[in-house]
Amino acid sequence: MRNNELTDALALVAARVFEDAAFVFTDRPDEGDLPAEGMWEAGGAAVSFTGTPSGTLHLWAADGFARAAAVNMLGLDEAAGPVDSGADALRELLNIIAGNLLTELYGTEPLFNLGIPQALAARELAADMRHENAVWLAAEGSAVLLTLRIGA
Amino acid sequence: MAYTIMVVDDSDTIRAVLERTLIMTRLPVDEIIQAVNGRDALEKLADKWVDIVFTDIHMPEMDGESLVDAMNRDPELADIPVVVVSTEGSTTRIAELRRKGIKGYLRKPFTPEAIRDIIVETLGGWDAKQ
Repeated sequence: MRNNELTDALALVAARVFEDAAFVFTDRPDEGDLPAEGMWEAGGAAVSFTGTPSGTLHLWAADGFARAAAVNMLGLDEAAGPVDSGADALRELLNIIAGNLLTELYGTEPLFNLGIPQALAARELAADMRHENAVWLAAEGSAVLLTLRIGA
Repeated sequence: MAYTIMVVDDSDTIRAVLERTLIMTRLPVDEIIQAVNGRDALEKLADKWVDIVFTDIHMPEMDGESLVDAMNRDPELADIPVVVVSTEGSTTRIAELRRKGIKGYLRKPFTPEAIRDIIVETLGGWDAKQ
């Protein structure tokens, strides 16, 4: 499967999941609007999958996006106070994207085992921003980055 | 009389979303019991009868498939309907879970209508619970 097929499917599935699960609408940002390396404060999560093939999917988003997603998913009033669920919401969105992406790419017949989503260390962000399968989306006034590694 | 429902998921967010969705269905729900994994669910089921269990598959300590197996082995729990709520779309996995006796399978993201339909299909609706 070619890289652009993987990234197109990833962008499509991620946008659909953000919309259906978190009521967050995304679009594809222009290259000039992407955050510069070292200048973007984002939290990340990773989920691995084993099967044919195996791999990992990473999701990075600024705190504002994660908080907005949590507020929408939980039906909270943002004015009511701070929301602590941003990181958990991000991990769960990643989990949903991964499950839906695998059937989008490989159909419903193969069996994949999804891991438990884990938080990513900030030091891993730079490599993901440069990754050849990086997919950028824009939502809630900030950027969202996804990277897919097949055979990782 | 109203339903007592158990929601099993390691994500705080998904448990809260499921609880909110169950309330949105307007079905008669008396109590929603939350558990963070299969083991926690079994401990809570030892003390409390529930009408239906909604469970994720992938969870730390004890996953959803092991929970279904443990419930099937326990005569006190074997008749409680289980609905799996997961991100997975593998027909192979779903068929295996159905062979183990699960009553339904919902894929994340889910809608309130899908939750409502599966409860009505499994337990009956408001009228059935009167």
